[in-house]
Amino acid sequence: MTYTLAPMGTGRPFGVLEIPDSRFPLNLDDKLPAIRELYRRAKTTGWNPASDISWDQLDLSKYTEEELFAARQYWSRLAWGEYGAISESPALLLRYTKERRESDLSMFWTVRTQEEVRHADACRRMADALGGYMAEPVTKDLEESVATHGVRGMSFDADTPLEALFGSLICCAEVIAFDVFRARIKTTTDPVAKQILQLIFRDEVRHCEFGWKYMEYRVPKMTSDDLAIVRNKVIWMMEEVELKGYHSSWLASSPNVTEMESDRVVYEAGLGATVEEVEKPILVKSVQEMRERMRSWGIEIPLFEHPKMGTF
Amino acid sequence: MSEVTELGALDPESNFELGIEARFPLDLTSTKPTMWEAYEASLVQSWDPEDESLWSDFDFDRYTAGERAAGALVWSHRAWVEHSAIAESEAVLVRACLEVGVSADFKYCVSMRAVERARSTDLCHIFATRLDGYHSSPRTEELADLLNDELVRRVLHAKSDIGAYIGAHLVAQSTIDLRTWECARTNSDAGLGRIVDHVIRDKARMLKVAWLYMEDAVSNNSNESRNLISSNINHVLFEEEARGRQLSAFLSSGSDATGLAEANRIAAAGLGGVGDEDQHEIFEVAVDELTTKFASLGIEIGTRRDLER
Repeated sequence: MTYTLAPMGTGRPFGVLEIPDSRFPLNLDDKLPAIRELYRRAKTTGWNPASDISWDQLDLSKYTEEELFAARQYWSRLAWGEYGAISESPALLLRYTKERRESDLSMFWTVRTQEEVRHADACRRMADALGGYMAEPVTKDLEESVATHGVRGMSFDADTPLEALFGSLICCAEVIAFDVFRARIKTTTDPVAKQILQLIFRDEVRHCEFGWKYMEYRVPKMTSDDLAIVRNKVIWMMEEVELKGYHSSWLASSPNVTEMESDRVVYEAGLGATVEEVEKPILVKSVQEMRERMRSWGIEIPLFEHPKMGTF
Repeated sequence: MSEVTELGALDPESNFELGIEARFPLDLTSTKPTMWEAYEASLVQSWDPEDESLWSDFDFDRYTAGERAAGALVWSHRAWVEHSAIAESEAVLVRACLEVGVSADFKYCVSMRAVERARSTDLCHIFATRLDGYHSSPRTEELADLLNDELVRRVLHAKSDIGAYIGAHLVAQSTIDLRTWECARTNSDAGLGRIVDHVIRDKARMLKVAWLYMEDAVSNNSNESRNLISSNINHVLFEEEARGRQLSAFLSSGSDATGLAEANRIAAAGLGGVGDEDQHEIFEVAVDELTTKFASLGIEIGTRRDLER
C-alpha cells in the first residue's frame, strides 16, 4: 500500500490538510484482518446509555451531600474528558483519508468516535443523576487540568508521522489511562457507577488494541529513522504529558489540591475515582509493559524519573 | 458570521486556518429534543451489512452475468459517493466542536452520520463484490475530479461559514442523495429492497437533523448571511451536482457517462439502478423541494440559468 504523505519540515501547521484529495483508486477490497475484526466486534457490542444502564439502582440516600457534590464534579470531568475525544480524535480519521491509509482504519474510527459520544453521554447522565452535570470547572484553573494534549493539532501536523501518533497517543497515553480505568472499576462499589465504567471499559479495550494491531502491521515496514521518531514521541508523551499530570493530577508539579481532595471523597464513597496510592503501582506496571511491547518493535524506551515516582 | 463561502477554503494562495476551540462552558445536555430523538433512534436502529442474514432474501442467481456486471458498476459508483461522506462527517464534527453554541444534539447526530456512511459504503462494496467485482476507480478524470472535492478543507476552514456548508452539503446534496436511494429502492427486487430500506432510514433521519440545524441557524441571520448560504448552495447544486457528482446522467461525455448510463439502465430491473431519465427527474424534484423549503427560511435558491448569467 502506498500512502500519500505531506512533506515534512515545511513549518506549515496543517500540512496534512494541504494534501490534495486523490481518492482513486479507492481500495476497499484489501482488508486489514485484525482491524476489520475489531470493527466487527465494535458493531456487535453497541450499547445505549439511556436503556442499558440500571439507573434505578442508583441510591443517592447512601451518600452524604459532600460525596454527591464531589461525585457530580468527578463525573462531569469524566464527561469533559470523553468529549475531548469527540472534538479532537475525528481529526485522525481525516488524516487516514488524506494519506490514503487502509480503509479499515476509517471504518473502525467512525465507531470509535461514536463510542466516545456514548461515553460522554453516559458520564453526563451520571453527573445529572448525582445532582446535576456541571458545564465547567468550579474554578478557572481547573480548566487547564482538563485541557487536551493536542490530538487535533498533531493529526494535521505533517511533521508528526501517523505511526508516532499511534505509538504515543494510543499505545502509551491511552493504555495508561486504560490501566487506571481498570483499577477504577475494581475500587468502585456503587452498582451504577461500576456498570458505566464497565461498559466504557469494554469499548476502550478495542481502542487500545486498535493502536497496537496497526503498529504490529506497520513496524516491519518502517525504517530505523521512522522508529526513532516514534520513540521520541513516546518519550515526549510520557515526560511532557503523562508525568505532568494529564491523566493523574497528583503528578503535576503544582497539583490541584482541591481536585485531589475531591477525588479522594469520590474514591472513598466508591463512586468511581482513584487516588495516588492506587494509581502509582499501576502507572509503573503499565510503563513496564509498554516498554516490553515496544522493545519487540525495536524501540528502547528509557527509564523515567519523577519526584513522586522515583525512577521507573 | 464567517467571511467567505467554503470555496474560499480551496484557494491555495490563502493560508489554511483552523478555528480555536473555547471548550467551556461545555453544555452536554440536550437542548434540541427532536435531534436528540434522532440520536437515540440511530443507536437502536443499528444494522450490519456484514450480517449474512440480511442477504438471505436476495437471490444472486436470479440475474444474468450482464446484469450482475452492470449492478457491480452501479454499486461501485455508489460506494465512491458514500465513502466521501465518511471523512466529511468527521470533519463536520470537528468543525461543529470548534464553533461556539452548536448543540451536543447536533454533534452526536453527526457522529452517527459517519458510522452510517461507513456502513453504507460497506454495503455498496459488498454488493458490488458479490455481483461481479468492485471497481475501484471511475474511468474518467471528469468524475474523479468531481469526487475529489476537498470537502474536508471546505468545512474545516475557519473562514468558511458552517451554516452555508451544512445547507449546501448536509441538506442540498443529501436531498439528492436520499432521493436517489429512494428511486434505487423502487428499482430493487424485494430482497435488495429490504436492505436498501436500512440506508434510506439512516439518510432520512440525518437529513431531518440537518434541516433542524438550518432552521435554528438562520433564525437570527442577517441578509448577508442568507445570501452567503444561498450562494454556497447554488454553487454545489448547479456547478457540482448538475455536472454529475452523484447523478452520472449529468456527466458531459466519456466512458463514465456512457458506462454508468448503460449500467444503471440494466440494473434498474431489480438491482437498484437509476436510469438517466429518473436521474434528471430526481435533480429537478430535489431542486424544487429545496427551493420551497429554503424560501421558507428566507434563502433563495437560483437556477442553473441564473448562475450562467
